[in-house]
Amino acid sequence: MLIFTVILGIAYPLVMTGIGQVAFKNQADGSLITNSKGQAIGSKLLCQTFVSPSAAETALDKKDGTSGYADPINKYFQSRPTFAIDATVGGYTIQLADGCTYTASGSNNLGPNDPTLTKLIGLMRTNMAAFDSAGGTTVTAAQVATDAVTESGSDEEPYITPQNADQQAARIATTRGITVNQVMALINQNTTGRDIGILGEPAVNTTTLNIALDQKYPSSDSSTTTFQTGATS
Amino acid sequence: MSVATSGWLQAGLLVFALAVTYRPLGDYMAHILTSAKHWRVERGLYKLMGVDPEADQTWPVYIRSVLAISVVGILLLYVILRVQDHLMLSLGMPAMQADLAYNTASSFVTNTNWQNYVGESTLGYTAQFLGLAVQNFVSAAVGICVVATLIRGFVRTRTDRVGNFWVDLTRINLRLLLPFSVVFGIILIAAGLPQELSSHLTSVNTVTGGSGSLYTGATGSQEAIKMLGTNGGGIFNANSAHPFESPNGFTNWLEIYLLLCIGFSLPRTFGRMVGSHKQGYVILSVMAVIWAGSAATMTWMEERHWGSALAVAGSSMNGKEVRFGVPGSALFATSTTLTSTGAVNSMHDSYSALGGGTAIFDMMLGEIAPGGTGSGLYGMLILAIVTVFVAGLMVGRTPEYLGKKIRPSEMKYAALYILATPSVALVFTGIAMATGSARRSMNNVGPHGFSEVLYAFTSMANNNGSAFAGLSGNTDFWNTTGGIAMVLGRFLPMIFVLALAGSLAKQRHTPASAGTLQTHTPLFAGLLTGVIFIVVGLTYFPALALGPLAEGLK
Repeated sequence: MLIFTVILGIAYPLVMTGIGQVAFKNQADGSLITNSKGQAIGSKLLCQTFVSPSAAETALDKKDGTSGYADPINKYFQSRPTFAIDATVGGYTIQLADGCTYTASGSNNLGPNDPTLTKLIGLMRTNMAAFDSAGGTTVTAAQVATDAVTESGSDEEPYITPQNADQQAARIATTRGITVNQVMALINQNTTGRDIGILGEPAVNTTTLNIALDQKYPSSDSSTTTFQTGATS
Repeated sequence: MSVATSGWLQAGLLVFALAVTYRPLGDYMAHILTSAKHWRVERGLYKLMGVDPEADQTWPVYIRSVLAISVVGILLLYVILRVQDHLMLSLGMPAMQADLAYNTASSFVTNTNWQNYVGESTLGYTAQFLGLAVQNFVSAAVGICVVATLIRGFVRTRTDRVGNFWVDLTRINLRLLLPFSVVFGIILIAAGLPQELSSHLTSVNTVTGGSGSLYTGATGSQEAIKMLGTNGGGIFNANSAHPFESPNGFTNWLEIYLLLCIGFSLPRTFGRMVGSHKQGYVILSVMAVIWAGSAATMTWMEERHWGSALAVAGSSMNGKEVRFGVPGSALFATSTTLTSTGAVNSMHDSYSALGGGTAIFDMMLGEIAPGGTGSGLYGMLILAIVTVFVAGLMVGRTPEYLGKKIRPSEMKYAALYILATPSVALVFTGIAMATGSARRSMNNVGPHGFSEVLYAFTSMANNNGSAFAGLSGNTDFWNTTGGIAMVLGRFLPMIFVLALAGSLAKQRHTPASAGTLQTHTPLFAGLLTGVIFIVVGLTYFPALALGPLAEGLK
C-alpha cells in the first residue's frame, strides 16, 4: 500500500502538475482572465453574478444572515438562475438568487413533478419576460428560453443558449445606448459551436461576453430590475 | 444541424471509438494478465513487497490478499482524512468528522466514490493525492484482478491456483491504468482542466466588484483516473457538471469514452484467454444491446420531458448544462449508471421520472453493460452461468460453460452472488424508510422522495456512487449505513466470485458433446439477455413500482 501510495499518490499527480504547468500554463491555472493591471478577474470557464443585493435581501440579511436574493443588473447578460428556497420568511418564498459562489457547486435537485419547482419556473418565466422586454421588443412569458428559467447542474456554468442571448440583446442595447446589431456582433464573437461539429451544444459565454461589452461599450448605468417573488405554500 | 442529428452522431462516434479500441485494448489486457515476463521495475517492487511473483495463490489466499489491501486502504484513508488539518498543502481545510471520514474511506476503497461532502470546500491536495487518487487506481485494478481469477478458473484444469494477486495488481496499475491516465490526463488538461498546486486558493475580483476564491485543484490528473477506473469521485461537488471537470462538449465525450473503454474491451480479453473470440463477442453483444437500449430510452424520456415542472420549463434542462444539452447529458447518465462510475454531468434527481428510473434500473441490472472495471465482466459471467443452468434445467442435462460443469457447488456461489447485492440494497432501503431521521434527509416529496432513498442504496450496494443528490447524506444514519452497504456490496460478491473461480479451476476439462448448449451463438446471447431482465425484474420490480413507476405513470 505504501509503495502504491508513493507511485500513484505522489509521483503521478506531481508529474502531471509539472507537465500541465509547463505545457498548458493557461488551462492548468484555471483559464484565468486578467485585467490591464494583471489581476485575475475570473475564469472564462466559470460564471459570475451580475446582480446587486436587492432591497428584500438587505432586509432579510438581518434575519437569516445568508446572502441569497439579488436583483439583476440591466446592462449585463444574465447567466442561468440559481433557485433559493428560503423557509425563514414565513413559508417558502422563492426568488432568483445569486449563485456562482465557487465554494459549493450543485443544483436544486428538485424532481420533475415537484410543486415548488413548477411554481418557481413559472415565476421565472414572467420575470424574464418583463426583464427582457425593452426598446420596443416584447418577449412574452411563453417565448422565454428554457435555459433562462432552469438551473444548471453545477451552478457555475457561464453558458447560455444562443436563443437566450438573443432574447437579452434588446435590453442590453437599450441600457447601454447602442444598437441591437452591435450587441449581436459581440454575442457571435463569444459563442462556441459544437466541438468538431457534433460534440455538445452551441453556447454563449456570459462571462467573456460581459467583459467584452464593458470594454467596447462602457456604461455607467447601474439600474437593476426587481424580480417578483411568490409564496409557494 | 438539429439537436437530434448531432446527438446521434455524437453517440455514433462513441460507438466507433469503442469498436476501434476493442481488439487492441482487449488483447493488451489479456497480455498483461497472462505474460510470463516481468518488467525490471516490477521485479524491484516485488522485492520491496516481499512477494515471489512466480508463486500463484489459492483462492482463499487470493481473497485474503484482496481484503488485506482493502482494509489497510480504508484505515489509511480514514487516518489521512481525520488528520488533514495537520498535513501540508491542505489549503486550510479542517479535518473530516469521524462518520463522514469512515463513509468516504469505505466509498473510495470499494470503487463506489459516493460523496457526502462538498469536495471544493472539504479536501486539500494531500488528501486528494495520497488518499483518493491512490484508491482510484487500486480499487479499479482490484476489480480486474478478480475477474482475471474467474477467467483463469475456466481456463485452468485440476489446479487450486488462481493467480498471484500482487502480480496482477502491480501490472494492471503500472502497465494499464497509470500510462493511460498520464496520456488522457494531458489531453484533458490541454482541453481546459486545471492542474496546479498553489498553496492557496486563487482570489479574483469580479467584474461587478465582488471578490471570490477559486478552487482550481489538480483536476486533470484526478479526472483521468476517475473516469478510466470507473470511480466517479469528483474534485467538485457538481462532479463532471462543473466546468473545471468538463469544460466543453469534447471533454464530455472523452470522459464518457474513458469510463466505457475498459469495460467494453474486457470481453475481448476474456475471449482471448479462453481461446475463443466468439465467446467474447457474445458477451460484448449483450452488453452493447443493453447499453444502446438504455441510452435510447433515457434520451427519449428526457427529450419528451414528462412532468409538471418540466412542462412549464419546456424542456428537461433543469439540472443540466447548456454546453452538453439533453443528448450529451443522457448519454453520460446511461453510461455512468451502467458502469460502476457514478460520475454525473447533470443532476439525476431532476431527470424526468422515467428517465431517472432508467438510471436506477441500469444500476439494478448489476452494472454489467459494460460495468465497472472487472466487476462488470464478472457480473456478466455469473449471469451466463445462471443462463446455462436454466437452459440445462429445460433439457435435463448437467449444464456446462466453457468446458466446465456447473454443479451444485458452482450454482451455490452464483446464486449467492445474485442475491447479495439486491439484499443489501433493498434491506437498507427498508430500514431507511422505517427510520424517521433517515426520511428527513429527502429533498423531494411523494414517490420521488422514495426514489431518492431507493437510488441511494441501489447506488451504494452496486458500488456506483451517483445519487439523486437532493438527499442530504451527511448524517450519522446515512454515513454509517452507507459505509456498511458499500463494503458488503463490494466484498461479498468478490468472495463468491473467487470461491467460484477456485471451484472451477479444480475441475478437469469436459469436452463438448452433441447435447452441450453452444454458448457462442446469437441464441445464447438472447437467452442471457432474457435471464438478466427476468432475474433483475423479479427482484426489484416492487421497489421500482413504488418509486419511479408510480411517479412516471400517474
